[in-house]
Amino acid sequence: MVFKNGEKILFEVRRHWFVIVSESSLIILLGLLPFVALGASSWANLSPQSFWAVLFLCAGWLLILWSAFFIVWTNYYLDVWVVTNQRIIDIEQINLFNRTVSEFRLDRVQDITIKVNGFVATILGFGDIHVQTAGEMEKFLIKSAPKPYEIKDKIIREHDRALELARGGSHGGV
Amino acid sequence: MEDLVDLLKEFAPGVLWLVFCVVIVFTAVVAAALSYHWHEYATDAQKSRFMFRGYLIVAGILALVMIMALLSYQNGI
Repeated sequence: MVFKNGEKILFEVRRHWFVIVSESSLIILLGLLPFVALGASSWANLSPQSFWAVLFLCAGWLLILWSAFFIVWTNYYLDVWVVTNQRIIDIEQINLFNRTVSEFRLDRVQDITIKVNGFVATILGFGDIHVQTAGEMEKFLIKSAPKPYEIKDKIIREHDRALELARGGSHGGV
Repeated sequence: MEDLVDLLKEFAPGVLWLVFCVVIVFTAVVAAALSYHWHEYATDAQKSRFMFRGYLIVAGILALVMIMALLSYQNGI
């Protein structure tokens, strides 16, 4: 990612940890199977040779699941909003080969909407953040962001600062 | 359970080596794709290197367990 001169990252927003846990719950459950198989093989008094075959298959199974988990983790980690002192970069990582990057200047922010939907989201404190920008039809959205109200406040603060800077710059020029 | 034991005894080492090769090729392809993504798209290079190294270490340990189990199986230990 290329940043402009004088631009620095203020914070990054990723989806809540609950998202990665729920997305990888199937992988975690499937990851328990080899331990069940190893337990059953020791209970069944398998011959040492058969035990090695079971161990081989279990390790292979875990290796495939580990790769699958890391793909899910990569999609989670690289799906991010990078808030800098000049703009917000919205990186939408849908899967390994499907990625959208869009950005908008902080001084273009018009309104921010928070949507906390459901029992789990309310208890754990995460929600969707929609940002509407001037002159843009499309809303920018990050789903299931942690502490959405705090993030909204931070963005508004940075938006105000960016506006002050823009006004100061234009006054200075007259 | 005895059926399972019989099935395991029937496994020719060649089949297990084939399984091993398929798993390793799959892991190598995934590792290459992930390496590209972490290198190109992560904002924090140091953290991304740390995470990818973690992936490789765990994958390496599992591959090592696979090959040791396979060699033990083949040699009838």
